[in-house]
Formats: sequence, structure tokens, C-alpha cells
Amino acid sequence: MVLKPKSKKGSHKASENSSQWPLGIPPLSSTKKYITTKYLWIRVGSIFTGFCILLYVFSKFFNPRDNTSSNNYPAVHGLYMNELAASSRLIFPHVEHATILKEIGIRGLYVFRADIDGTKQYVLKADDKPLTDEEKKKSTDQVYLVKKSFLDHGKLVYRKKSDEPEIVIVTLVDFERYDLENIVKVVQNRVDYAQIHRYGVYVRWIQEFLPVMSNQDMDTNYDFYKALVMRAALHAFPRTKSFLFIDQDSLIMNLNLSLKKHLLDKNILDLALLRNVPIKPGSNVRTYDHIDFNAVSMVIPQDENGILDLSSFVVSNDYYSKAFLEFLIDPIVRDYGWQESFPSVVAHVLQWHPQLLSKTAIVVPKVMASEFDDTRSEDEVDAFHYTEGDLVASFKGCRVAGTCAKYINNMYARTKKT
Amino acid sequence: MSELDMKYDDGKSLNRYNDEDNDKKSLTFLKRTKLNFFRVHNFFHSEIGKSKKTLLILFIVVFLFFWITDSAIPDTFIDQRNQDSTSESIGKPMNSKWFSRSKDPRFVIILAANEGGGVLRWKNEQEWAIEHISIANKKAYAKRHGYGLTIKDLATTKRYSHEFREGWQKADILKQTMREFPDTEWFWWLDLDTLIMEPEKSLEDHIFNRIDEITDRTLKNFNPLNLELDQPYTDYSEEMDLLITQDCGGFNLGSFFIKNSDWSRLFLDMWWDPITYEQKHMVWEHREQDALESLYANEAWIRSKIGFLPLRSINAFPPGACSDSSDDPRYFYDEKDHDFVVNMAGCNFGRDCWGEIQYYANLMRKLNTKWYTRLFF
Repeated sequence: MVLKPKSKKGSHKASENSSQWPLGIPPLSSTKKYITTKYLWIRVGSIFTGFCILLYVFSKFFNPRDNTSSNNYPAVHGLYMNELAASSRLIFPHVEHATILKEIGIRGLYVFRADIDGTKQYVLKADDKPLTDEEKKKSTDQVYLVKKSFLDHGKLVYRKKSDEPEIVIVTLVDFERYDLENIVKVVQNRVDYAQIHRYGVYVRWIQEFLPVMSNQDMDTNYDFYKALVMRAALHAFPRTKSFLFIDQDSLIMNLNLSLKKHLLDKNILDLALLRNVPIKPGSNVRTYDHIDFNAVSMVIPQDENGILDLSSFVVSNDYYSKAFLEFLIDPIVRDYGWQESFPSVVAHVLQWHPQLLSKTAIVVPKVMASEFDDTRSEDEVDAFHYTEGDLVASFKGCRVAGTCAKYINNMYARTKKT
Repeated sequence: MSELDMKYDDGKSLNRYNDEDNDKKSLTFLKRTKLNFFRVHNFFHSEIGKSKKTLLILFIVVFLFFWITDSAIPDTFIDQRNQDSTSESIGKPMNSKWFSRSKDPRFVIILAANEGGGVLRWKNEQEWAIEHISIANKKAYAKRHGYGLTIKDLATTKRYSHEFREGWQKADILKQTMREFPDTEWFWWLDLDTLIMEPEKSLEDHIFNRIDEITDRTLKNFNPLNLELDQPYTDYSEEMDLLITQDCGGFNLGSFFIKNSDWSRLFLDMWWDPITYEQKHMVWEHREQDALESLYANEAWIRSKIGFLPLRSINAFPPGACSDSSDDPRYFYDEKDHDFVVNMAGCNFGRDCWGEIQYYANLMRKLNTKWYTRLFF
């Protein structure tokens, strides 16, 4: 209303003013012409303020910094450049291919390259293109299709904005050392559990990561692959909070126990936390008495001998976990020629890097990795061994003893009963 | 309407306001507000009426001044604070352009003095003089722009040598400084053999207000080490927490910025590990620099947070350094371009530190002399 043009009624005085003052601004002290003066001032003032505010607002909107933000840099990608969007939050390979994959062998899956400097190894083709649906239909070569499905499995990433899992269960399966029947049960077990709680599943063949390693004798560094698959899982589910790794020698027994309520809850962690214990036997570095449960990035159990148990562990999607995992798979650490086992390497990382240790909860195995021992009676309850109702039964050392198939068969049947 | 005219001197204006507004209620409300407004207005009019125009202009000038100038200038800190007095429990204070409750300056310069230990031999006169010139240069700069300055003595370097880890003192000093200045946003590490040649440039204008334009996140354009360009899991959409430069031989940590963040603290913690150093201490000639290169090459969480500034933006070399590529203009200080900082890197390896610093100190004085200062001499 202030800016309304002068009506004819009021134009008399105004014209008088403007004739006297060519610029239309009469002296301030003139009381007679006070009214018009005032409006002129308000008008000029408001136009000026409005202009300033407009300018200020626009300068906020069109900040040059916002326009140039990182658009020119390559987008984040995993081991493969070309990725496939997963349709489901349950990402697991075609387990039925296990026998064919075993026949094809590593030699048939990857390119074997011998360099001039004498290194001979399998290499990963990072720019490998995934097979399109059309190509899949056209091809009748069973072996080729199985091989491509093996190579394309690593390209799957979950990018849906809806229905995002809060927790993802990660497992490595091995078609060379385990039977099909065994693999099917392990994968089904993870899927069953995830379905009940609407979690995600991320299962990969351990052989998928072989070409990443410089030492390709899998038996010598079998456990380092856990760090590789976990890092891949963090990338596949970028907005998921927690990732639980469970190895293939373990089964989730209590399918109804929610991981979030059972383990990642502050109060449970508080009870399960091992305080002021050496990180590995004989170490001078001990776990902290107090940690901030809201800022815990990693949860790792420690067994009765004081050795970290990496058969199952939790990491979160933050840079503490990323630093932890990437440090473990950094060639300079991974290929050091460790005389110690993987748990001891993890203990080394934690004891030399207090920033990581302060984000790690070392817990009793009972909450996530109870050791199964069929010679024990079910009545002997302690913090380490499996009893009915525990979340996970871990068949430690069964691969060496050759008892994995037996245990997994028996125990898998038990989970189906309940 | 005519009643209003008779009642108030200013009736005419009200008429104009309410020409179309026939609602009585709003009329009375407007009437009242208008009345109050004019009362106040008349008061001002009679009191300071004559200077109103001046006041308005003054207000506009002050407004524009505060708007255009970046921030109010806080006091300078020159490392006088007692470490015990900085309590870590204080929550993060609100820091804005207009309102700052923070005790610490936004930028703190860390100057490494006494390089090389100073234990094995006495410092000679020239070394004292170099130190004096360098410190005075940073002091004046910090004071001018309201930045903090802390001078860190590297005389204890030898304490690190039994573990072959002299270079790691840098990480320890940075950690310590972060504890001392919990609210500071960025730390600028400077070696002693550096001179700020353009003290007029503020860090905000020179670097941080245009950080995305002047930094490069990848090595595509300049890769003296021939590192792998592509790395899985590297996310360039993350904010940069470490700003470094590259010279002809790779990463250069003579002058770099590190943000006061959790990532930086984790990075400083992961920088040194006995396993990596046990393997590499014979190979890694430049210690912490080589270690950083190795981390950058292999760990995505590091690469995602590093930005590269052009060498000449904060770390220009004199002709003596990088002498193998002396025709490459990317490395060397150019007074015509008014390069910000000169770093006499490696001047104590067969070059004349004293000569170089004198030359650049004189040049700086010459470049920054204004025409009017000559009137007084």
C-alpha cells in the first residue's frame, strides 16, 4: 500500500513540491511539506531496503561455490567401475552354481597374467561390463553364463532410497572348500534371519576377491578376505548403519533375536563389554574402562584365551570402520609376512591406534559368537560356549577337523524346528 | 474520512492509505498505529530531524561495510596460553560471520622452529637470524588478520630417532596443537624456511572462499609420482580435511592445511604404524611424506579427504629447489604473479639459506611498500 501511486486527490501538493525541488526531495525541516516528504523517504527507504534484502537473498542462492561442487570428479565406485543396481536388499550369489564354478576353477574365471618382473597372478578387470539381459537370453553356453554371473555378482550395489535395511548380515562362501549342500544352508540361514527382521544380506564368494590380493595362496591369508568383503558391503549399502559379519562356519541359531535390540543396544553392550583386559595375550595395552556407547563403530568379541575372535564382528558405516578395514587390506599391512594369525593382526592395529580402540567395543563371545562344543552338556553355562537361545553358534576349527558339514546339518535342522 | 482529516494533521496520508479499505476495525487499528508512529516520528523529527539524512547515510554505510567485509577481526593469539586452562569439556561454540563466541581464532599457524634438533651442535648467527626473520614474518601476518600463531620447537626430534621416526614429530605436534586450540577450524603448518610474501592476502580470500575452484581432488592433471589415478571406494563428494601441495618429487608437507576434525585426529593416529615403518624406513627418505603418499595410494578413506593446492599458491619454490625441472613454471616463485608464500625447501642441502631468505625478505619489503610510506622516509 505504501507503494501505491499517488491518487489524483493528493497530487496537488506533490506537484507543488516537485516543481520547487527538481529532485523531488524537499528539505527535511520544512514542516508544511512534511507529509509528502515522509512518504518519499519511506518509499526510497523501502525500495532501498527491499533491494538490499533481495540482493542478499540472491547472493545466498547463487553462491558460486555451490555450482562447482565436485561435479567433475569421478563418482565413487567399488572394485568394478560398472555397477548394477540390486533389486532386493538380499544380495547373494547363485549358490547352485557352486559345482560348476568348482569345475571351471580359478584358472577359468580370471585372466592369469605374468609380468616381466616375474609376478604371476590373476588380475581383476576393473572395467568389466556386466552382461545385459539380452545377451543372457542369447547365450546358450552354460559355462559362460555361470562365469559371467560370478563376475557380475560383485557389481551389485543397493541404491534404492526406500526400504533400506538398517543392518546387513555379511557372509563369505567358498565353492572350493565347501559342498553345495553346506553353502545352501548357510545362505538360507542368513536370508531367513534377515527376512524376519527386515535386514539386508550381503553374501559373496570368497574367490571373488582373490585377484585383489597380491599373495594369491588363499590358505595363507584366508581371514584377510573378511576385511575385503566388509569394505565391499559398506559400499554396497552406503546408508546402512551396521554390518554384521558371520563366517560360513557359524549359524544364526536364535532367529527371533533382533540384532539391534540384542547387541547394538547401549545396555546390552554395557553388560557385554570387556573392560581393562589386554587386547591380546601379554599386551600392555588394555581396553578402556569407559567408552562412549553412542559412538561405538566396531564390536569384536574376545574368546576365553584373550584372543580376538573375528568369526563374527560388527562394523559401522563411518570412517573409523573404513580406516580400520582399509588399513587391514592396505598391501603394506596385508603383505607384511605376518607370523601371527589374523586376530593378532587386528589386535596389533587396535593397540597401536588408540583412536580406533576408543571406538571399538571388545565384548564376550556369548552375544555374537558362542563357541559350539558338542562334548559339553547344555547345563554348563558360561560367557563363551553355546547354549540354547544364543544368537550365533560358531563351529570354530571345524574346517580343519572336517566336521563343518555335520555340525551345520544338525544345527540347521534345529533352527528349522523352532 | 473527513473526521479523520479534522482530527489529525496527518489525515491526508491516512486517507490515501485507506482509500480502498472500508473495514472499520482495521481502520481504527491502523489509525492507532499510525498515531503512535507519528508521535515517535515527530519526536525524532524535532530532536534529530536535521541530521536524519546523515543518519540514514551513516546507517547504509555501516550496513554495507559489515556486509561486505568478511568478518569482525578477533584478537591475535600468540601461543601464550596455559595448556591446563583449555578445558575440553566446553561445547562447540556457535561460530558465524556475525557472531563469534569462540575463544580460538579460525586459523592457527603452526611454525616449526629449531629444525634438525639443535642438540648436536650450536646454532650459528645466521641460523638465529633466519629464525628471527621467519618468526617476525608470521607474527606480523597473524596479527594483521587476527589469526593464531604457535611456534613449536622441534629440538626434541632426537627422541624419535631410536625408532627411525623423526618425521612423526609433526603428527604429535599437530595432535597437541589441536588440543590447545579446540575451537580453531584450520591449522596451517609452516616450516621455518618459509616467508609469507603477500601479507595483505587473507587466508579466507586467498584459499578458503574459493576452495573448490583452486583445489584439485585427483592427480589427473599433475601426477609426479605416477600414482594410480583410480581407486575403488574413493568418494570425492566428501569435504576436504587436508590441503597439501605437490612439488617435482611428490607430496610436499612444508606448508599445508589440516582441518580440526575427527577425521584429522584419526588420520594423525593412523599415519605412523610400526609395521609400515619397519618395512620402509630405509626406503622412505622423506619419512612422513612418503608414508602419506603410501596411505594416499592405498586407502580410500584418506584419498577421499585430501585436496591438492597448486604448489605456488602456498608453497612456491626458489629456483634452487626442484632444479631439474627449472623451466616448469608450476613450481617457482614469481613476483609478478604475487605468489603468496615462498618455501626455501632444502636450502640447507648445499644452498645458501641465509642468502635466500635475505633476498626474499628484501623483495617482500619492496613489493609491499605503498607509495605513501615513501613520504615519511
